[in-house]
Amino acid sequence: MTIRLTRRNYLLGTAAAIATAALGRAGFAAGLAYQGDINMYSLVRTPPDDALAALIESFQADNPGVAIKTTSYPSETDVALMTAAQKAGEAIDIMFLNGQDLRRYAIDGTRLQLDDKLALDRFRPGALATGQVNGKTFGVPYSSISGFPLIANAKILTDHGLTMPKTYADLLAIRDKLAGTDIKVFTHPGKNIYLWPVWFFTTFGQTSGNKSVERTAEILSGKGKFTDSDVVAGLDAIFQFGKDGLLTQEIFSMDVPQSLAEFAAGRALFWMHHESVLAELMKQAPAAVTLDVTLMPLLAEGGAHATYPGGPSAIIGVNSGATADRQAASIAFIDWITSDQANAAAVKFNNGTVPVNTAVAAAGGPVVDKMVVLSDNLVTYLDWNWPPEVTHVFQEGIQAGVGGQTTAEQVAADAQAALDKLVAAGYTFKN
Amino acid sequence: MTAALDAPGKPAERSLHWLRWLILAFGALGVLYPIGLFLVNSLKTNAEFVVTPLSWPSVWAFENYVVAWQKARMGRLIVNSAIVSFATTILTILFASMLAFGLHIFRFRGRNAIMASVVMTLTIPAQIYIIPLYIVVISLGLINTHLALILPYTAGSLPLAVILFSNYFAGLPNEVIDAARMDGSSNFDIYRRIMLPLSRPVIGAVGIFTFVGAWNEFFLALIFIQNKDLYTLPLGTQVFATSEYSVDFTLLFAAFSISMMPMLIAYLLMQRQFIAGMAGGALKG
Amino acid sequence: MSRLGAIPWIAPGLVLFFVFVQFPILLQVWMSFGPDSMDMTAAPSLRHYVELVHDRKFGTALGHNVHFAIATVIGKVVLAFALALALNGDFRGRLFFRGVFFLPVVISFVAIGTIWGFMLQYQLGAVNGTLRAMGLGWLALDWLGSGRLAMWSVIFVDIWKWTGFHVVIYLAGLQSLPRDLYEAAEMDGASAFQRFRDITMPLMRRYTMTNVIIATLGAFSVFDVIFIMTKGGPFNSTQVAMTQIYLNAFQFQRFGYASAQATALLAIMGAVSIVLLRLSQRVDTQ
Repeated sequence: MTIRLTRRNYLLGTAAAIATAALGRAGFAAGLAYQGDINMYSLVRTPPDDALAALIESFQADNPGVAIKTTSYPSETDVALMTAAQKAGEAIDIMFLNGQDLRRYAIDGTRLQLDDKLALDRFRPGALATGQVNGKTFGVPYSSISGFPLIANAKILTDHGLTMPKTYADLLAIRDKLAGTDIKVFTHPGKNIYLWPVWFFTTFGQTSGNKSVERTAEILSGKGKFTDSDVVAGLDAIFQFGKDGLLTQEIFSMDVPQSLAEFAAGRALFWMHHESVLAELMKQAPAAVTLDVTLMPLLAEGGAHATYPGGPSAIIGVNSGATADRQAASIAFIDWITSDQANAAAVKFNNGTVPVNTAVAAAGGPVVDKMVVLSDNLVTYLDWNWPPEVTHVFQEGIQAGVGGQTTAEQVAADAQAALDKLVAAGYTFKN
Repeated sequence: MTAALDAPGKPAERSLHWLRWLILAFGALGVLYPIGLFLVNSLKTNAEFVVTPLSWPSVWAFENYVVAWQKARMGRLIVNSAIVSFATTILTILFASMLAFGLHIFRFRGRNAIMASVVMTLTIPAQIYIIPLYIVVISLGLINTHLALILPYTAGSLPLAVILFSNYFAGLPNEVIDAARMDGSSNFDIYRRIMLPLSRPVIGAVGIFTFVGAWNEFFLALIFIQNKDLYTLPLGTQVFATSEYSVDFTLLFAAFSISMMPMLIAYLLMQRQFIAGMAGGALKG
Repeated sequence: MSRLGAIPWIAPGLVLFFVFVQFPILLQVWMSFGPDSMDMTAAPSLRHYVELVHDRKFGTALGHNVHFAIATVIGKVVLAFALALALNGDFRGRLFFRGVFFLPVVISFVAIGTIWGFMLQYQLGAVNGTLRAMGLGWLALDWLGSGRLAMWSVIFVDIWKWTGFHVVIYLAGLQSLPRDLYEAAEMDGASAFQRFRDITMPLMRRYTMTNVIIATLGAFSVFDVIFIMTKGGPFNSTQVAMTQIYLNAFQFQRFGYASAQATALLAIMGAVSIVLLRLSQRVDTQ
């Protein structure tokens, strides 16, 4: 027999607790029938998520007899190792993964449907979308929703009498204005292939007429092709950055630390990177930087507005094959860690920007406030739907294309070929 | 340098003397420069390092070492690494010497096949078969215990250790063993009172290799140890990540240099035995 | 002597070795005949191996392994030999220098990969910084970002890390050389160079073979240094067999196929080691 507290109870009952800095002991006593271990499998978080640790302790203290056991894997090997663990007989109750990996299990039907088990109205709709398949919810978001906007150094603009660019032509004008200096328009960790697809998500967001998610679904289910003109245009746009010197060849020896160094030293105007670096930059407060955020300028005329790719930091799902009382215990725990109070703590301790819970206010100054405003333009990462072989083609292809070693048409053809091969081996797209 | 060209200990000829020093100087510079760089950088603040990695620190951040120690709870990490590394080393020395001894004393057919089957996997890193290994470790219920590391590390160290012990034993004169046998000693006595004491150099060599390998091992530890209280040193350095994509490098470097110290000291102390052990065990016979 | 007496001696090591090394490898071979999903009850099939034969990326990666092997083996053996010669004998600071060259072996590869990643970076790296400061700016190339140079950079770092290990093996060999041979030769009037060429080098051949075997097998299974420094890039120029296996196992989740690749790699390494061992036995008998 489960006692379910509503959000209203939380807000009323724990208003006092929110005033204290630490998480406090206002946990969630659920009166659970199940006694024993609940196994939660998650990703290794760097840095470690101390908020989650506190939430677990708090829950265990209020629900004696229930112990949450966590197992965490490094991010690339997690699916493989979880499968191995299942083969060896381990029972997995809760999966707490990144959006892409959990979605895989959501689509497979091995996650429990949560629509009538949790109050889903606490979440921002954009954050909920990742865990939803055919309108049903199989995974709920945790902590914050964030993505890859353009992080900007406003000081460079003011020092050189420039304004924030609105179009691609403005970018070229800025490039010309900065030509004599050692300041680049964009810095980017070009060595790291994992960070190239976000460029495509950004440009395709525009070249698809703001229909990138729908178009992806069409392509993956065979109603369209990667070789269609809007995809090729999206790729071409990125390669054009390379040809026009907005992305220079030096970026290929840089990884994130070097890009950070360049940006912090005031030698780059823009950096398309994950919002989480804002906290680091705000802490370092380098003298050469006035921090700002913006979106990609308009690449072409015609209606489409700028978007940026992103998603929630983690999605949580419950094993649909577990016994009912284990499921109830799992759901009670998830209800607790996605409560507004827990969410506020998670966002704060993990340097998040935009919380997934609508009732939780973002805190962090004008830059974060601007991010909250921009977050209306967040579009889920497309590779959360792509099969990994296709992602790999884009990762390598975009890097090669900016390096001048291949063309947009070729990359698109390779992506389509990879998809065709998978379809021939039995892949079907599920949404 | 003819001393080097010939045999140890002879006086050097002046004409080649400078060549020796040239080689050593360049070599030492090549080795020490990067290491020196990261030692110096371990004493900067991360903000400064990120902007100017080549400069001397404007402010000497000695507190990096203190912060790194506390943030990563290095006391606990060192204890865990020490337990795992010592246990692995002791087990490896024990099992490898016993195995080599058994194959040496008992000359039966199939001896070479057994030896070959162990040696064959000499440089295969565990990453190649990590998934089936993970299944095995889970099935044995060892996940999240020190044994989850000690046992696979020992198994992985056996090939080289067995080679070294085997070759060394083969180089020992048989008369010693025969004499002991005529005195009525059992095999166990021979092992304990003769072979092991004689094998000190090889024990030193195997000890160093195994200890260093276990101390620095990262991949298996990352997957098999979930409990933060059991983390070994390489795992503990993950806490220096400041976000999903960024790391506080100066703290990380401080942590690296702390981790390096024990092994460096151990190597300097055991150098002589180590080299003698390699000499005796590497390739005789 | 009775075979049974050997059992208590060899059993502990062999059992441990079987459980944690041989059995997982066998399990992996078994999985290579199964489907990608790790379902071990499915009927065995050879289709992964068929696919492997046509896998051009894997072939290219193996080619990189061969390139890596040739370069690192030559580099390590030659450097280690020269250093061992220099370190041999009595001279001041001997212990210090011997310690110095073993340092990189003792440091974890994560630390080394991180440090060299910084040093070789094009704009802010120490290597280019030093070159520019010395007026050699034209030598300041994109060591890790260029498709042509990245592999050489990785080779360099691998040599940097492991040479000290081979130095120790050579040192051990040099120290075990018999003095009387040299004394006799000197009395016969042989010059230093002749003594080196006719005594030292032949006697060291065995140690060279050992170093070659270890370095070659290591080159075929190399993973850590590449994963940390380049992850197989840029532009796939540093892909090797192990990075391909990792990609298939963990990014594509194709466990069956990755197991087939791993088994193929093990077979290749086995063949290479047999060839090298035969070679070394012939060297031994000379």
